[in-house]
Amino acid sequence: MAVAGIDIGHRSIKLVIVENGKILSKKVLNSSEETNTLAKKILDQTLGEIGLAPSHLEFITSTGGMGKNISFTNLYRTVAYCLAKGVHGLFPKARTIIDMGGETCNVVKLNERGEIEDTQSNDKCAAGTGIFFETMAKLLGTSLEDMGRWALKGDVQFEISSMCVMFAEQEVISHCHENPDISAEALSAGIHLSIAERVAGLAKRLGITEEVVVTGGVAKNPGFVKFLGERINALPKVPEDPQIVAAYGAALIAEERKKNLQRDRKAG
Amino acid sequence: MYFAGIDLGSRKSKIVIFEDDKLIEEYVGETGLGAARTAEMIMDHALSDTGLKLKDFTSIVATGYGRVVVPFAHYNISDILAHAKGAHWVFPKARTVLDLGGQDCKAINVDDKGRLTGFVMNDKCASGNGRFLETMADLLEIPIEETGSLSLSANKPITFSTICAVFAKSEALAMLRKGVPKENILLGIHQIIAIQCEKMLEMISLEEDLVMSGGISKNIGVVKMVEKRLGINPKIHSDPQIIGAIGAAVVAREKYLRNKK
Repeated sequence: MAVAGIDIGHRSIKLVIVENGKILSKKVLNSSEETNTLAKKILDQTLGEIGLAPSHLEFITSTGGMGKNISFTNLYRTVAYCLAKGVHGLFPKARTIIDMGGETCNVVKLNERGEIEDTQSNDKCAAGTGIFFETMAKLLGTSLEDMGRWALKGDVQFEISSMCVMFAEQEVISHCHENPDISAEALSAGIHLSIAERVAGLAKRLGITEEVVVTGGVAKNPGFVKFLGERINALPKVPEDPQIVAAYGAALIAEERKKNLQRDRKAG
Repeated sequence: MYFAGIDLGSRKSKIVIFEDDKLIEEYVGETGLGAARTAEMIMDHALSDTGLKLKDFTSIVATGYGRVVVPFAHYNISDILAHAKGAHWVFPKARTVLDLGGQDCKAINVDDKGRLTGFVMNDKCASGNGRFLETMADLLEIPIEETGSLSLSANKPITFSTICAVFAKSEALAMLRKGVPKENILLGIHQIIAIQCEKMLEMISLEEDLVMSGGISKNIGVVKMVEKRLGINPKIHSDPQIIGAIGAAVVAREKYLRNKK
């Protein structure tokens, strides 16, 4: 019998189906609207693709900013809780998780057993979340991937002093007006440094303990991971698929629950 | 005797001229690239309006973001002091000033002599200031001047789940796609601005008269919202954008009178 973890974020839905600790399928779909129906559709579709009958799915855990009040799931767990499970499963030595999603940033501190010791999160302000990158890539007229690649090649020639994304946008424009010769690489590097700085600030409130694991969609950007590593004096690890870690953790929680239910049934 | 106050803001630059204690000229222009050039442009405008020459001024005081680079200013003062002085000159009973500018907002307390007794300022976050309203007006494709009156026709207020300008923008976009009427979205935006005002006012002491200044104070929707939430009827000058410049001119005259003694 299989279980599923579904992470419904502000920008995307992530789904992981697990059977006996093994990932059968994983999906990431960008969306911002009608999460309930869309999540159900993705689940049914994915089950169809791997030839699994819906009745074969024994337990579903949901998580994520929009993951509450989902009609077809059995349990909701916070992102921090699911991240802890997922990261501990992938990196047993992990002590600090930095998760950067589209509109949130979570920092989770773990003990050696993978239990949560402390958390910090930001979902109130766009500074230091994925939307900062999106705004800047749009401003530079390029893709997130290219901006990340440029940042790796560029020297930092300026720093954004504004905290707010909206002001930072203005600041980059003014900087380009005053320095028309600045390269796209240098601009990207400056932008990446600023965002890394915000995130590092949040993480440092908890204190950085290695290993550090970076998750969430933004972790796919090697430029960000490099700058973040420099700011927190650590070499962060990035999972193969950083975006699905919370969904994977949710699936692991579902497996635990499934086992407990089976045990109770036997005992009963 | 002539005195000038010049307020170089992030979006608009303002100048006023006093003949002794009488306001004889006011002008609001766009802040262009280069604060010094903007200052010269608005000064030229005021000079040609009044037929005065630069040497006719006894004293010129600058304020605002660009205050340090105004080539012809004798002094410069902080925006906070300028707004305290300006609000007191226009409304002598003013005790609280709420200035909602292009890129910052502030709440200021003044005493019965127009002296500054306390202030808070938000220049870190775009939420609640002019840049925010401008972005939203752009998104809704409504001229910024019309946002206020349009919001008054809203029938169902929308409450945003965020106060962040950037998040609110994506939330507003999602609402537009769902077919929510623009005026209802605007009402929600005005609510965010009013909430930001309340947050600042909580940090100082809210005493009447409350004066509202800055470009956003020209938005009747925001003013009504603040009025409703605070239960206070705010006092607003016919051009709320020139309060800072008035304050600068008042200080110019005060300095002259003090030095004369």
